[in-house]
Amino acid sequence: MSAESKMLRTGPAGFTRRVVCASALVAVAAGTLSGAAAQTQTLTINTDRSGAGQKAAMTKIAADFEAKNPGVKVTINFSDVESYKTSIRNFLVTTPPDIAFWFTGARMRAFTKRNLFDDLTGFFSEQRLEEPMKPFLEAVSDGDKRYMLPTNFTTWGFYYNKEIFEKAGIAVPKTWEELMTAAAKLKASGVLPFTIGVRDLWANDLWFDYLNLRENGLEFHMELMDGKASYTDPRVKKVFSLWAEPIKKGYFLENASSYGWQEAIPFLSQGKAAMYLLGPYVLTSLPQEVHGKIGFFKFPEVKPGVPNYEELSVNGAAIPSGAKNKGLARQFLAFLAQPDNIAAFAKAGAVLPARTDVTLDDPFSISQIEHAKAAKGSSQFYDRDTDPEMAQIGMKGFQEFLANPDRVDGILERLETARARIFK
Amino acid sequence: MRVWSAGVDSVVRRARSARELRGGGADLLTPALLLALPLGLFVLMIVGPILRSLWISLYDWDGTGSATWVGLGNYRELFGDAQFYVSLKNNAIWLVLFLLAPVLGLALAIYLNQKLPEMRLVKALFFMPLVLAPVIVGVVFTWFYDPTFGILAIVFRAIGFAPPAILSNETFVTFGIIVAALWAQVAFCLVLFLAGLSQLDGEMIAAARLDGADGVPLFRYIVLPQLRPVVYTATILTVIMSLRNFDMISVMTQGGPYGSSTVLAYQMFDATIFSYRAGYGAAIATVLFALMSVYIALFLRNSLRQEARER
Repeated sequence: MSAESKMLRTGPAGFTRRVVCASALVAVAAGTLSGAAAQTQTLTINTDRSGAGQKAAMTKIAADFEAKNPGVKVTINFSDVESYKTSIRNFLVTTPPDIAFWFTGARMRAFTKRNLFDDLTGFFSEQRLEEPMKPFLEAVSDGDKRYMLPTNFTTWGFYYNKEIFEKAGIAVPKTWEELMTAAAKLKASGVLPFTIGVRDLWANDLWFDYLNLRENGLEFHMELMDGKASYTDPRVKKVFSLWAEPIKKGYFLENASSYGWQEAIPFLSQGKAAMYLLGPYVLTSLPQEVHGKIGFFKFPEVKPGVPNYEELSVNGAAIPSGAKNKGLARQFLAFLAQPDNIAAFAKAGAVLPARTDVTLDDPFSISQIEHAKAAKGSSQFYDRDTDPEMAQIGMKGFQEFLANPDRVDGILERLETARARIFK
Repeated sequence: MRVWSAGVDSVVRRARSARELRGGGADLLTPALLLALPLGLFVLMIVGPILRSLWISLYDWDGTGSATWVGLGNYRELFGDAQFYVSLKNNAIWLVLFLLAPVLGLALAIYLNQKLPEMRLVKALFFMPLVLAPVIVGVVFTWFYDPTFGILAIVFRAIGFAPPAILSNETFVTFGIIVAALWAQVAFCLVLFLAGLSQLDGEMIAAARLDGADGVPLFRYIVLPQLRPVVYTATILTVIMSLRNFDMISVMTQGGPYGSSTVLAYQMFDATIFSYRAGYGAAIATVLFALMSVYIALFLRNSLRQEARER
């Protein structure tokens, strides 16, 4: 469908794209045929983990797999994250690979609801993965079935400039009040408390998610994500009134929507801003020399008595329903799930392996695993926990709120209308 | 399109004369065969997708699963969607401001149309935006507008003003993107007009000069009428470009802040890809197609008339 609508817009360019796609298909088909003739099996993997490190790790795992299984050839199609998001729906239906990497949670359920992923429920007991992967199984479940192999997960929290904290005499904040006091102190000394880039919308979600988790708890948060609670609920309004304080006091980077999430990082490393609520990408985006200057602390307590919930985003790999070599694909997933492989794959992307029995040696990973283990429960991320359309509308609402906190009532009204329509 | 219809005409004419030579007899095989390929391609690649898109717009469909018939439901929702009117308003702003491109292009073309050797370099400099992909232009202008590190911010600070954040301001953001797009579109029109100016009838201008015409009257009554076809083409193409603009918006703001720089083409993309609403996206595409058809029809009518005159 998107091809048709693109056609209206681009005319000849859309045409060329089709021709190119068609000839690519022919090439792929030809490749499969010649492979069959030579009595080999080809395993096709589509993945968006295409950063230099993870690409190398994946290629090595595939080569090891080939070496162990003579007659098997692994073809990996790497794609960048953003374009993968737009292409996966097409290829799952038209040319499904044997393995597709994807997000878990609501984004996975969007596909399992349509029977696009193969049931992997038995796989976990066969491979004895239930115990080591226990915390991640919920994320790959739809009802009582499991559809993806969790491969790695990402933690989130405040990354801060240690020198600035030292100079201002600020200790790591343990509560929301302490965080606000620290921000006031920083602001008075001419340092911006929070840097943030929201042109690509998602960095803002963390503020909403964490405030909601810390104020109202995981159960209410998930009710809201599942469309069962209202956006005009007083509990949601409370979250927005908490969030309004730092916005109105000017603690956030001004004109945040002029910056992509990455473009806001230099403010932190250059000492113009003190904190950034984000994931380990802060570090992977910065040169090794400055990593020592950056510290991490978890989102502080907001309401005493609310247990410590965290956002842990789990990624994984699935076998599409239309895959041709499902047996081989399962073999490969089992191979990938082996402690050494899953650790190498995660480490290459500065994320954490989705196995509790894997130990990593670098201090950052160790601290992040501690952080994850301390959680009483976890959500994933706004745009992975709720319906994709709701997420898009919600994120635009958050972006507007960050720029115009006074419009809160109109924004929540709009989100509620969307929720009522989407989760009918 | 124009080439195509001209081709069909000549084929039909030739077929007709062949028949006359043979003294009648309905020999339609040759034209039918010759027409089959272009017509087939046209139907398969243009008409088919358009009809299918229209059809999809009547369904509630996420792009992969099963579709539910909603009739005109998508259109009803669209006409009640506040974002649709923001997009429509932005499309109108784009349309009007983009018409500056042929005007500026013509002015620059006249200035650059001097037979000095230095002009080659100057012309090349003006052509430059045309060589760059729109996405690159978008990225460069995003840096230019960056409220902290951008050149614009540096200039503003140097003269003692607070730097504006054009791409975060819901009022100015569309204008900011249009300026970037105009930069490339002016160059496009400039090329068209330079080509047009090189085709001018020198004798006519010399004659007019002999009769004492100069300056504005010379331009108004002698040069401009000869440029009419170019003016027409440049204007229509500019209008169509303004309606289908998408790439710059995607790169510079992703339709933001909070949808205030969105146009129909971008809203369609956003609905289809990020909100998983292919039916709704198709409805937006249909509305956009209807708007564009007006200008395409005007363009076609004009070219057909011109061909009729030339025959």
